[in-house]
Amino acid sequence: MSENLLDIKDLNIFFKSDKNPEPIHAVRDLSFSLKQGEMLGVVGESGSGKSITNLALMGILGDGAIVKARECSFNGRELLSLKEREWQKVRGGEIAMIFQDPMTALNPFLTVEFQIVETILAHLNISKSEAKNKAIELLLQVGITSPKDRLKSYPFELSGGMAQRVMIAMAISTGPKLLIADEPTTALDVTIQKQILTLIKSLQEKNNMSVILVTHDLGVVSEFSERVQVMYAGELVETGNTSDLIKNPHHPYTFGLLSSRPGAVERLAKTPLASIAGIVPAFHQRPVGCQFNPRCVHVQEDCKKGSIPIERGVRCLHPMMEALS
Amino acid sequence: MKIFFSELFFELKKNCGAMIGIVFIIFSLFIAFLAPLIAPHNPTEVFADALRLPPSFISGGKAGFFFGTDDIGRDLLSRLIYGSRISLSVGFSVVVISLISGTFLGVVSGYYGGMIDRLIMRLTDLIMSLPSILFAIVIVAVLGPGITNAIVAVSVVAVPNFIRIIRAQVMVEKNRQYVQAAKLFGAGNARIMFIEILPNCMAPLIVQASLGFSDGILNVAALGFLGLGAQAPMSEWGTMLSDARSYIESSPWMVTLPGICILLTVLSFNLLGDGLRDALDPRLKKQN
Amino acid sequence: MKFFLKKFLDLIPTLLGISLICFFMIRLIPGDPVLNLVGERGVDPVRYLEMKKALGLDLPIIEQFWHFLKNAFHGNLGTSIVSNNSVWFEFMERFPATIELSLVALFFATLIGIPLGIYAAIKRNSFFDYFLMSSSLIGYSMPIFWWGLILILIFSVKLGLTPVSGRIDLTFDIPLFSGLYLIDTLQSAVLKADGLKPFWSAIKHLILPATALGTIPLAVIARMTRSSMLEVLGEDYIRTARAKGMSKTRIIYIHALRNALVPIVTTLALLFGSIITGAILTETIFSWPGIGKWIVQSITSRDYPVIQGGVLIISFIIIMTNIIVDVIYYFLNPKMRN
Repeated sequence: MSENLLDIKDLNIFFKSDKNPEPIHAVRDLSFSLKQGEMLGVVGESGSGKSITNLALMGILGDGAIVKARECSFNGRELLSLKEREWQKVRGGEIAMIFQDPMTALNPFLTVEFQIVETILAHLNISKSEAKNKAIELLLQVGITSPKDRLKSYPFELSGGMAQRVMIAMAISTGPKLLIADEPTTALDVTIQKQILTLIKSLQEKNNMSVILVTHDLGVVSEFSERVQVMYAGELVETGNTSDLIKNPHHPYTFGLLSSRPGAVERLAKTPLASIAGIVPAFHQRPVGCQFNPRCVHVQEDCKKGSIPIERGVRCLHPMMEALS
Repeated sequence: MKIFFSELFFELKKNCGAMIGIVFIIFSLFIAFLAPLIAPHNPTEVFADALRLPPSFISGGKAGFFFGTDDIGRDLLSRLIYGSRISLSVGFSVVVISLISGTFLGVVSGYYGGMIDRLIMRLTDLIMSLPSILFAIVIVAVLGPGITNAIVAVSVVAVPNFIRIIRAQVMVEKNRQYVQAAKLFGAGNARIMFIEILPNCMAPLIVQASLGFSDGILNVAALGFLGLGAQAPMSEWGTMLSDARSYIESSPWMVTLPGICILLTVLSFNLLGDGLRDALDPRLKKQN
Repeated sequence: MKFFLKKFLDLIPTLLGISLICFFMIRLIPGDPVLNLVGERGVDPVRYLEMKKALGLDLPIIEQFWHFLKNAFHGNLGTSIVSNNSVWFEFMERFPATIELSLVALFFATLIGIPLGIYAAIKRNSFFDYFLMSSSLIGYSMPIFWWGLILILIFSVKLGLTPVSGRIDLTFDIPLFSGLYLIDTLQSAVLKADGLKPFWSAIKHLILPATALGTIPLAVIARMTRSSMLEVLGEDYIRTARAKGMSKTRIIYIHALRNALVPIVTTLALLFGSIITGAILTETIFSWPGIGKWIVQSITSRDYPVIQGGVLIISFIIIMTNIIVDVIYYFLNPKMRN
């Protein structure tokens, strides 16, 4: 048994589809691990396989998905061999998740109280009134004033930030070991984003909880998480210590992501912001070789064949050596 | 437009139900057009020595009358074949009348809004608050029974569906940029409504037209059954059923066959309509 | 409160419109209204003028409409030419039969249709799903007047299981209390006299017409439930519920069904209209003594006051049902209450 809370080795996710006889290969050979109480940032554009990986960790991908892995252990248990009943204990109980858009992630027909209390009752062995008291306590913890009134509210009566706080309260209500936050601030106002992230960070430290923070904003990651991994087109392209990686990116994609942030690179006033040309290739038109080669400015002939292994945390044959700026 | 239809057909081809519907509709169109060639007898010709004969493949049947004969000795097969002419043209007339008037009212209502819109919407509310057959009955009661009046009545009942669908679509489309552009170029209201906007409302219109076909056939047959639609000796399926009712115990084939014809025709238009809706509604398309 | 007031105000133009239609109906029929009213039996000139005055036909048209409205408001809808009874009386006599038939049909259609639709949604693209969807499309396309005849042919003529027409065996004498035979046959006096036999007889008479009438609603409800359920099951909050570790049953019945039911309630209201349509045909086939058969008969016998009054009452009932459904919808959907 390893000391890690989560150990993923060679995770592959496929989707069956009606149109193609070949299943779509959405996530390839993804390996990573997470210690108890650690926060891991996951960065990548849409379509990079971040969200799919999270849903696979929760066991809630749709029927068309095939998940394979050499190892996928959580807290010493192999997740992929769990039965539905056991999954239900893990989900919400040991691994909790919050989503991008809190306004649609809460059931519009049920009160906040109902939704929090049912989560608590499903996982903890306490009475209904105790659960209600716990819900009030949780809402206070996530910074909601007058929690008793809020319990009676329906989700559409809440603001986006408030709804996300409710989601967080619900997620931590059962004392999970791991919290997956899937772009928790993307749908919120800029002013609220930082509050929410600070809240998640403080809860992580207080409860010694592990957190996977998914975002497409490297800036967010650099502020909050110790470690980061960059994903591209279903593959892990670079991973490492956040501060090292930001100062010294080796993969051209990471470099591109970093330099497309305002203020990241010194540039002449009024010159356009750097950007990465092109888009993430669709599932069914993935290139051979390095996934990034069609968009890479440093592309060479050997990038276009075979599969490229990950070496010293970078999946690149010609890693960039010089630091940013 | 051409691309629209070829894409539509491509989508439809994948839908098994819709293809069955189309094949059957084409089949019945053939029968209806070639009725004089296919039908073994004149549908109104009376064979006095062959009353209520069972179909020829059942004992007691006669070779010349494949589906048997009715209570006054007319060949049932020929009557059913000629009945398809009536039902298809009834469906066609209902759709054409309700589609044209419904589209016109819907476009005007959605485009102008305000008083006109409110007036038209009230009118549709009114018609829709009455059960369709009841409203058709009222109209037939006023106009008198007969196939033409039945068609008029059923068409009036079908108009609100078209109005609502078109109006909703027009209200979305009229704020689009191409409409603004047309206005800037000085296009008149009539041109904007019927040449710019209307072609962009085709999708729901096509679906409703197909479903309107089946509703029309069903409702006119129901009026025929109640004695308010086609009158004897016309071989309309609903009227035939109504005549056959008294002989349900002794000659069940007289009841069974016209009903099957109605069911199959209505079913094939519903299949087509469902297929069209799936093909034209992108949201549903994604779901399946 | 504002919501209800607005709903109520919306009613007025519709009701006025319906009254206008019913009012002009008689006057639009080609020929003299009095002669239309008395039919082909003819009338002597004195009686003619009397009738014209009694009907208020000598007044200006606006005043006539006003009188018509006033009378209708007081429940005075005229007298049947055929029976000489008041239209209201005739209606009340037959209405329970239609209500009994419609409610039983709708009840079973809902009771069977919703679970079937849910199951098809859960087992999407399975054999069961395809089978249910194709049979519901057939049910939806069924000419109800033919379906009724086929049911009679199979269950009454061939198998001899059920009676062909009427509401109950005429040998039983049932004192009317609610007008619904399923209830009235359970009165203590009836039970003492004949036991449960009258009740069974009522059920046997009811079962075929209710099946015929319930088929289309059943098909519609099953399809609606399926599509509504599929839509809800694709929502984000269902994913949240799964991520919270809720069981499948709980997700379906607590998190999805209630939300999926909201559009179904609206469908049920629309179905009420089609049930009345169906009742007109079903009652004609099964000689069921309800308002559908009454209206059809009055058309054949050109009993115009009955048509006029009947249409007015039926549409009034349907509009009221729609209002009730709006209220239910209001309470089902917390967003509306805000």
